[in-house]
Amino acid sequence: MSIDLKSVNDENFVEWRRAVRAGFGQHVHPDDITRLRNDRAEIDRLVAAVDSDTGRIVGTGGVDSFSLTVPGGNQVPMAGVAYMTTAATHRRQGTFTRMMNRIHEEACDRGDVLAGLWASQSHLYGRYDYGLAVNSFDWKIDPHYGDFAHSPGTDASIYFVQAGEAAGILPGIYDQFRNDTPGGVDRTAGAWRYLLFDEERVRGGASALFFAVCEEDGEQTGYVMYRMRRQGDSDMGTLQLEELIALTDIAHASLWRFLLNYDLVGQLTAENMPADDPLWWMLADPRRLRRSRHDSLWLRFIDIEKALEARTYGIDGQLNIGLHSEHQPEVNGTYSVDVSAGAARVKRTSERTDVDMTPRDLSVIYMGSSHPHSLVEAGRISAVDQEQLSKLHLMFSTDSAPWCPHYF
Amino acid sequence: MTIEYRQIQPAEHRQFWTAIERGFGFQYSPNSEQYRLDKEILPVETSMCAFENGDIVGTTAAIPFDSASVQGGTIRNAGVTAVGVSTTHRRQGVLTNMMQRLLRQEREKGYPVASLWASESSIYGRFGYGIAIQHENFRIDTRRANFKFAPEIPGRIRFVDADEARKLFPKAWEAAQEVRAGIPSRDGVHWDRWAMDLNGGSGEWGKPWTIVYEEGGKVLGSAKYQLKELHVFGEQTHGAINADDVVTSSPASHAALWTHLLNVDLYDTLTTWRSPIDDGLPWMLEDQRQLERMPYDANWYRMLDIKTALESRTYLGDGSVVFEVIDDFLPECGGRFKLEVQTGRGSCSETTEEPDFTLPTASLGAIFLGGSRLTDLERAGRVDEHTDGSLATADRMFASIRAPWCPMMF
Repeated sequence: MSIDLKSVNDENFVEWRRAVRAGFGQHVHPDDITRLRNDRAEIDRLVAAVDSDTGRIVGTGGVDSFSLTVPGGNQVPMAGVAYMTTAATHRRQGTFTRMMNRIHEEACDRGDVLAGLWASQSHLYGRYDYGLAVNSFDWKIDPHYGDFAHSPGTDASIYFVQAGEAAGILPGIYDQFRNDTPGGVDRTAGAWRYLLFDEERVRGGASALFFAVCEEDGEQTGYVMYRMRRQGDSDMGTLQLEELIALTDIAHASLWRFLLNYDLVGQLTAENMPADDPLWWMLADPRRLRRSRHDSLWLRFIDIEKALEARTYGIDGQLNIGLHSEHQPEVNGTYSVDVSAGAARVKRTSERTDVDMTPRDLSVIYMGSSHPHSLVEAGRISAVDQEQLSKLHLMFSTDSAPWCPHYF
Repeated sequence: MTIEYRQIQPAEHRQFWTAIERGFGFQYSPNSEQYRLDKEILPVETSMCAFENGDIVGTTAAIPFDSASVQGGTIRNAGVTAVGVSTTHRRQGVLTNMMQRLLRQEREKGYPVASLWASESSIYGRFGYGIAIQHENFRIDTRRANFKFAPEIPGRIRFVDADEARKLFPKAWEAAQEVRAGIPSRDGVHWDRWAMDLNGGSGEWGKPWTIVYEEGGKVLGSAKYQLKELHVFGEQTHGAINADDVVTSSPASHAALWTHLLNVDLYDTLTTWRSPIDDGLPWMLEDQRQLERMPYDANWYRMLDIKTALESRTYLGDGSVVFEVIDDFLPECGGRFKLEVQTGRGSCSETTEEPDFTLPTASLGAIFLGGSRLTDLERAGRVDEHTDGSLATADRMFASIRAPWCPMMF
């Protein structure tokens, strides 16, 4: 028996999709297979691992193409890795690694600068040089404790829209937001259809989506989408926030005022909230916002030089970063990062290193989400002296935390 | 009925403690040694209380200590504590009156900042306190806590008894103060009082265990932890471990202490509190999602003498900013200031120049130790920028390589 990597086409797509969902312990509705094929999947970026004896698909993987906003506002092509499974029948045969390698090689050939993913488990992807690049928080709050002590103003107009109207309004607001937000990725028209699909089977027992839009001086500056969840005969339901996008501070404050004023809501839950969301600083009783930290976007460099040159830096200066990778020895070496007026020129050098790390550690600090000191304490980054560590910290620090509102 | 505000007198000390006991709902039954130490920690001149007909109806006090400032140096800090108003005297402005007098009293003594742990996070913002130090509580099943990364550990861990802990823990503490801002100095009385709790268990928790990390003849880390048996019939023996006092000063001491705490046989449900927000532990784990991380507001700072406070710390970034501080609660503490930083040293003076930004004093307290950013506070409506880019400039000046930390509850 051998396991062969094959491309996915219209003939094996249904089997491939079933194998993906089975890998996550789920059955899939036939209509949802069609939906993925039409609205989301890029069929030439999918991979199937096939058992040569049975002809069955035993491993799946693939990529959604994205453009990722990096600190400073540039956008780089990113391979959004998804659909990664190996069948329980075919463990420990290197299939997963072979699929990952193929995905990275293809990403390189296509000119992607980074690969990114949301990890189902956090120990899986470090070995392929992925680092946790974006942190987020899950929130819970009882709206009765939602008073503001501070706010930039909450007088934006808010109105409800129906799903059909929302489909026309939301993408424009989202696009503006993600262009300005490090960590943001684009959403195609298909991605929007996929996201807003709202038949009962995808609601998880909650209501259909509600939508509200925020407007200031005739400009639409934000929106929320959420579901309601009621249990038994309790008067108090749960408002399950699905997405809140605000282009201005006033839109952010107004939308939160709206959500926290909701009648008959005993709890508001939200997942994947930005690490530096200002709501916590606005609340009169901030401890009532129960936050638990969660990992969101993991990144891996496909082209290290391009990635480092794409972002801007907190201070000017020059630093030699030594990179050491077991997974991709071809990147091993010393990279001179020379920052002038915030922009970097990166080239390989034979000079001595100022700081040493692996590419996955560099991914962790690349977006400005985590600081080098944490990795120094963990024994992952070493610096020749404190001065070089300070320089690394200041160069890679950003004015705001990255956030990726799009799950894939 | 008139309420009088003043310090307690020595004869009122027992009544003072009774009022605190009532305010926090705990049982205060000290032995004579503990009572002697508590009186030394909160002497009468640190108090500011409310009296009605000779009865104490409200309490406040401020423990004086020096705390580590950013990148070296110390700052005199009034550690506000024991704040309570009797249930019989609500909504009469007792807390506001006590707090105003206490803060003025401490300012006159020369304390440039006051700080506190808030029992509830809704109380102190109105008195000009801002959240300066954020912490995280951790929870993990240690059976799933495998290290993937760790620095080299040249030293070693050993158990110490209560007497030795009393001698060696202060050394680890001082080493940590070199590394992180916000850590209070503790004098002999504080350490004696701390050591009293080493002698017995508390509730279902057993007697505390104390360990130190030593390297090259120096104590660079210490930890105190307690164990609790969890009897679950028919299941494998396991128990809970609570580490509330883990003090580290280097990657090696950090790794050594956490290795120990994650490998205590039979006790696998680990909870901690008071870890700095940028702790390296999550980044050592093979599977970091196993570590539950729950952030919370830890230490609130209140500026009393802005010039002295800002000159007590050093800065990573050079620059110059002018800002107007609004202080409605203690107007004499506000004003317009210019902070100029050259080669890391700050000089601060009152000025009449046009401000680059205006902020309430609580926002300055929040950024004082580099634990938060003005650009985030701006989005919450907590600072107004008049000169474009000035908040980002100030953030770069105030930034700290390591998050501030206050491993001591007071």
